[in-house]
Amino acid sequence: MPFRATGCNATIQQGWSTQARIQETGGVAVRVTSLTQKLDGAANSALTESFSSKFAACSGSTVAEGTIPANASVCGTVGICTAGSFGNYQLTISGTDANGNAISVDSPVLPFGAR
Amino acid sequence: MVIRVILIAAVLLIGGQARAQTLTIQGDHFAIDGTPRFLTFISYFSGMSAPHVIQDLHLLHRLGFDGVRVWPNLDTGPQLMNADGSLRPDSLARLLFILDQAHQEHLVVDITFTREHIRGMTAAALRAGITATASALRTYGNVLFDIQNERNVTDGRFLSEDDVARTLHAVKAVDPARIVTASESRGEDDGGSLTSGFVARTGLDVTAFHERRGPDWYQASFIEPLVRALKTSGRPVYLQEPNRRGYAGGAANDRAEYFLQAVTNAKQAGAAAWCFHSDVAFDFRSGSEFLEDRLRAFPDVEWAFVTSLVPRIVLLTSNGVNVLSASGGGGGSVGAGSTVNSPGTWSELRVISLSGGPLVSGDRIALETVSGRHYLQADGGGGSSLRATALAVGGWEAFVVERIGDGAIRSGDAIAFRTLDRAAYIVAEGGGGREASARAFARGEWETFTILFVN
Repeated sequence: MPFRATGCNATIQQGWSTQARIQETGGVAVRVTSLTQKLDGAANSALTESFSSKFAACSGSTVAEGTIPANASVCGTVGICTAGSFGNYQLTISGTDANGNAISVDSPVLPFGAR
Repeated sequence: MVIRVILIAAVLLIGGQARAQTLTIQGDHFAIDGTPRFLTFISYFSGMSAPHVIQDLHLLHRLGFDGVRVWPNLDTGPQLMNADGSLRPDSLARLLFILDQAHQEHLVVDITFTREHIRGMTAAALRAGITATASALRTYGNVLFDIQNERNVTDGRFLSEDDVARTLHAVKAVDPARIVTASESRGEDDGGSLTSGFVARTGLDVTAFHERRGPDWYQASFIEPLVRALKTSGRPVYLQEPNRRGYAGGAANDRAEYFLQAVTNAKQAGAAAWCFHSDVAFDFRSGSEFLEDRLRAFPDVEWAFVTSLVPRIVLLTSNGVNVLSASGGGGGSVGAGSTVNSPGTWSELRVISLSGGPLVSGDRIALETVSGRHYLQADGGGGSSLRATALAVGGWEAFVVERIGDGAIRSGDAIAFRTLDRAAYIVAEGGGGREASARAFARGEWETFTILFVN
């Protein structure tokens, strides 16, 4: 994940960020009930956020909030804006699919680029 | 069920907002399409010769200006009038083109006449020229006339009180709705009272004033008593030529901050309009062709000032951790589930002032999301959900911004947003980290946000 010296967000200029797409490919819709974001393998209170505050419909599509429709995607910006130092980022989503099955999915661990 | 997380790139588009354009007077304020509004103008004296009027006026609208001040008789380009007061057809066509473009961009045009730039022009000829102009411009609702710039200065500008009154009556005879003023420049301590008396005697519609440019020109201690004196005429007060960057002998004119304080103090003092007086559009015969380039050439004062009129903000919730954000950047819900450390732009909002001018406690505003197309909306006008699905500003999208302690609103201030229709407040449930709504009917900690300007 690239480091940005400026423009990470409006109030904290520097940090690591990238665009993410979460794509459902199995043909079963999912309702996401929790999002966990980890820095260096540990959940971080600076990133205790709701799924709908991070992910929404990708451009040109519509998605009910907190859901990933079957064979569809949601998009958002992930990472952290900070002057601190961290090595990597990972997110985990949990929820229930349309068949009633509990799901939990981890993203790849994304190493942070050099400052 | 198979889920993949894919990393992609993003593109953002930021757009502008629409605004109306028929100028009238309500009491001692201007109104645009019937709604009172503090107006912010910018000097565009040489507009008659500007090579890129379309782009210039589009920029000014996007930056949040309400109007431009044009001198159609200026001697740096095509002049509207001949010495006998007859109008030059090509120049009139040029002026109409400017007015049409201003109309497109929802801008008001202050047309200021300058007799001194037409060799040999008498007061009677000026009156004939202005009357002919009034006749030609009858269909334009976005115009006001300044009969003569600094009419009291005893050089080529001078126009007697009787001549001002005669010209006013001549204009009203052909266009009773035309708003007319005649500006004065006075450095005396009692200059405000003198000009107010002049306006009251002549029956002008607006008190247009050019104040002295002392070191305190931008301070409330100077502006408040001045505006108070000017308002005794009962007419809208228009501070038409305050200090400008580079003005010889001027003081405190080298930072945008002075100008921001000046316009804020003018608004708070009860002025109706204020002009950002810059020399960048005085003469287009040489230099950059585009107004934007000319403004950018002076990062501070010009560019810093003009980019501050429509503030971009972030609203920090009372827990100091979370920020208000529009899911997807607009088009969906509004929540307080993002943190201040979260990357991206969904928490950025543009403050669209419905009251006009710099942000002051009590202003009516709308909040535009980063999509540039959506506005925050209190469902039902308040008492229910808050979302970012509105595509235009109406009653449900209008909020009154309240600063704790009143006054001008600066970055870092504690503020609240009350709906216009039902007096409900935007609330970050739990002080942040959860949903946001407009369900609160009292202002407390959860309804209080720290406003951070991010322009």
